[in-house]
Amino acid sequence: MSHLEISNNPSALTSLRRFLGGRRVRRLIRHRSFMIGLWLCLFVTAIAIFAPIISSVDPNKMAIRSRFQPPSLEFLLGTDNLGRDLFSRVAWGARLSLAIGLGVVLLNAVFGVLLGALAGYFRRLDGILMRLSDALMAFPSVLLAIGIAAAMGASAMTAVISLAVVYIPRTARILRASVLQVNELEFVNAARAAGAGDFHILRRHILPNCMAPLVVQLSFVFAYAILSEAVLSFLGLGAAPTDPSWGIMISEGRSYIREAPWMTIIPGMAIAITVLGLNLLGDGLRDVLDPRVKMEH
Amino acid sequence: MSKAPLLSVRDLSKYFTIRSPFRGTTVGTVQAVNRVSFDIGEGETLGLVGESGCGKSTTGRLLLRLIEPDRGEVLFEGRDLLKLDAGELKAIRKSIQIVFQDPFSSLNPRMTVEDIITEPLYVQGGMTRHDMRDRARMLLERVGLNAAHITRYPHEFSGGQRQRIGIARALAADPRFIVCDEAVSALDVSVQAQVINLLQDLQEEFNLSYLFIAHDLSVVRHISDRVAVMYLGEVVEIAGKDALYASPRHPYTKALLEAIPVAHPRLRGKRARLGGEVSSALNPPPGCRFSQRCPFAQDVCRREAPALRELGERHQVACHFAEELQAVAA
Amino acid sequence: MQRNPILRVEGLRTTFTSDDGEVVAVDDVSFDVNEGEIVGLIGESGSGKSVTALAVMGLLPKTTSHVTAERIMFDGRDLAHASERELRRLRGGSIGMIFQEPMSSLNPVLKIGDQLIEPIRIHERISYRAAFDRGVELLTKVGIPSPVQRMNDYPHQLSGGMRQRVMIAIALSCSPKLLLADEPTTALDVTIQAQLLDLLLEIQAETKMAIVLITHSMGVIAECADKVVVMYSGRIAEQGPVTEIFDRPGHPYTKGLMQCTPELTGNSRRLTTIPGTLPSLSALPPGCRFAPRCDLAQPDCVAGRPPMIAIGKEHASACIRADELVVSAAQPEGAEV
Repeated sequence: MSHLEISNNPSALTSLRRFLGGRRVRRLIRHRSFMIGLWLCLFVTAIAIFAPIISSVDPNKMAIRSRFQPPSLEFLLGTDNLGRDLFSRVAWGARLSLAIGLGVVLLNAVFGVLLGALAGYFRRLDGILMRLSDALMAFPSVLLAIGIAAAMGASAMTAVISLAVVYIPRTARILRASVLQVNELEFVNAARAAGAGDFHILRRHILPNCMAPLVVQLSFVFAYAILSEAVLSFLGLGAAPTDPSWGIMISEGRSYIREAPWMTIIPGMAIAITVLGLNLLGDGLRDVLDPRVKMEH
Repeated sequence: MSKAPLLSVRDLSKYFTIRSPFRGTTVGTVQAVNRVSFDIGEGETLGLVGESGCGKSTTGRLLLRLIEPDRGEVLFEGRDLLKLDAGELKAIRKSIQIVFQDPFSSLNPRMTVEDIITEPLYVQGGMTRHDMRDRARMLLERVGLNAAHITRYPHEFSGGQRQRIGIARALAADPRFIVCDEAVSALDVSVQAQVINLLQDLQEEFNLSYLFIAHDLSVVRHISDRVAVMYLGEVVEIAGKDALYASPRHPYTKALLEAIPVAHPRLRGKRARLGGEVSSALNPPPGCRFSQRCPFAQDVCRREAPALRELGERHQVACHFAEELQAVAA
Repeated sequence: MQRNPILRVEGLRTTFTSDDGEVVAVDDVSFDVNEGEIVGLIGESGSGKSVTALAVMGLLPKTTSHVTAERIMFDGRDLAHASERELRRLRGGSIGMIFQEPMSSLNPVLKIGDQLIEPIRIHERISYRAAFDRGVELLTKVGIPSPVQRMNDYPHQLSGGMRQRVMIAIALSCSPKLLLADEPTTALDVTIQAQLLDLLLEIQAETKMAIVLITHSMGVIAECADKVVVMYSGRIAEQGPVTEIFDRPGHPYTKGLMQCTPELTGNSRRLTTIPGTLPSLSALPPGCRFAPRCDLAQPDCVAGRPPMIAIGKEHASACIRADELVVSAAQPEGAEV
């Protein structure tokens, strides 16, 4: 890995290495559950990316003649009540789930960081912002998401927004806690003594040192977003009924659970594998980057 | 010294209110720093000693307005730092810098040595990146590190080397006055001496004034011109170092000096020990704050707080019985 | 003074597994602690002084560390080959311990009394009442005012110095024959440090127990120790009686340590320094580990590990030029470097 250090043009990998530190990378590589999580996530991501290639059949193409086919060589994962190929639907569903998860994570990264930094650094805003987040966190998370989604009308975008609203306060809280911690360190005082302004201190000193807990938190948000999206879609409040969403697939399979159990089991497995992968990844990151912070849920 | 001092502190005070976590009512006031006054001349080092919780570190931070004082004046080159607006304060920060105790938390682990050292220049503006880098290299060499290490990160250095980086940062904007807040306390003995020598060389070269805050009395004696002793937020004695160490006038200073371990096993022997513990600065008693531990305390000590008064040339003491104690000792 | 060693450590070696591979923290360390003797173990960070004490006690984490020794004889038993059960019986029994951090060594949710009574009742079969009385007696002995009330206090209600006194009381609870004190006064203020050192000396004079006092301060050594073991980078640089060490240091490192501490009386303009920095345990120099920082270093110094050479009565140094050093020290105010 030493050749990376002398390359003049810092690649994404070198900047990641610089962010994590070579020692941490080594520890991550040696962390067994992190690596399992990483491979699971890469596996799901690959399926999502290559969905159009690996699924030869249109996920929405109905074939009345081949309804309720159990997994076989012809239909790898079987077919559903309308004769749609489950393998294609699961693969395309991965796209949808990951897209929604990514959307929630991005919104969390932007607004969670913004609110958390404001609350942690400007103590005058802290009271208002944290009481607001307390109010939001007082609702059971899925119930809150259902409420927002129901009010806005079902769509994938609605799902992203309502889940973001649910998880942003949690991210903001974690960030606020680390901002408070870093703000106490002497290099912040050194910058202040040099005449640095608040914005400079936040951008140069505080936020870069809050990244580790943030990355850990976002990996968990990713997992919970995928899980919750499935719940919303299952209840008809997420993706459009025609979209190949894992939640909708489970919901549809529910009526045929005796005749065609694979209709529910297969999308269920897809959710389980993805969430497991992300959680293992997050646990590994937490062990290596941020052993003190525990998730609050 | 007829010239006006570079820095002149008058009645500097900082009180923290403690609130009950449940009811929000005020439990009391910690007089962390109470009516502290001292002068520091150009090129002079004032040592500030005292035990933990005596307010010596807070005093250093009040001077830099890292903590906002409640009362008092800090005159730097004749201007009151506490009356400056944000713009003026930023400009004057060039001249007043600080070196911290902890070589680990005082350097941002995500910044290169170059970025750390040039930060004061960057913040103050008016220099090209190229000039800043040249200055950083020069400073790094000056504090005894390899200029080529400018692209490294703090974790690649040892504690003593990190402290040198912190010193280079403090020097970057060409200050006149540096607060050394326990700057050598966290270092191993064999490294500590190097950093003390470095600080003295730099002082001579750049005509710097230091406020040298420390709890190690032998280090303070070595580096300071004059020494101030603090107890529970108040200065109890200020004097030239030789006068202070040779003939302390305040009973607390005396006790502090007697508590220092001997330099050679042959000098062992029973010495008078100060009993009790440093009491809390929360709601301090009326009268002398040292009266609870003072072996010579009288009724008047518990009633009236002694003021810091001149006793001999540039020797100030805050004790009702300084003269009597002097006579007894002689 | 009696001549029987209560603790005899021979060939102690401790390694840690880290991300950088295996590092040797303590490398072939041997020393004796006689009955009723205070041995000062002095060194800077990374010298292995604390690790040595923890290794003797079998307190290092088994997963990341590996301790070997020819023998660790304590009171006739070999601790190096003792079972975990035997060691547990000794810890807090015949061997007491106190640590640097008086806050974290006490359990914050238990009363002082309970923490004092517990070890007594683990090692002796006596009633709660009797153990309580013994606790009060111990608190009185370590100079804690109103001990009966203090038994019902929680650690956070006491100051740092008082907590350290409680730690000493706990260590004394089973009348140990040996006390391991790891930087017991480092976190405390000078006046409190002075009180505690006085207390340790007083108790030692009364109970005649042996003390291993681990410290980084020459002052603490000068104040208390009978014998000194100077450690550098995991090895013993020099050991000998305290006055010998101060009068005729037989190792350039010991000499440097004493010279670079600012003196309280005289006042030279510049401090004599030891150049360079402490070596990292993962990148140790060959031969004598002090050689890269030593004025007297010569090619022979890096050729191999310098053996311990006797240079006086019970005074030995791991420096091949120790003889010259001692001779030059004997001349008053000899050529100061």
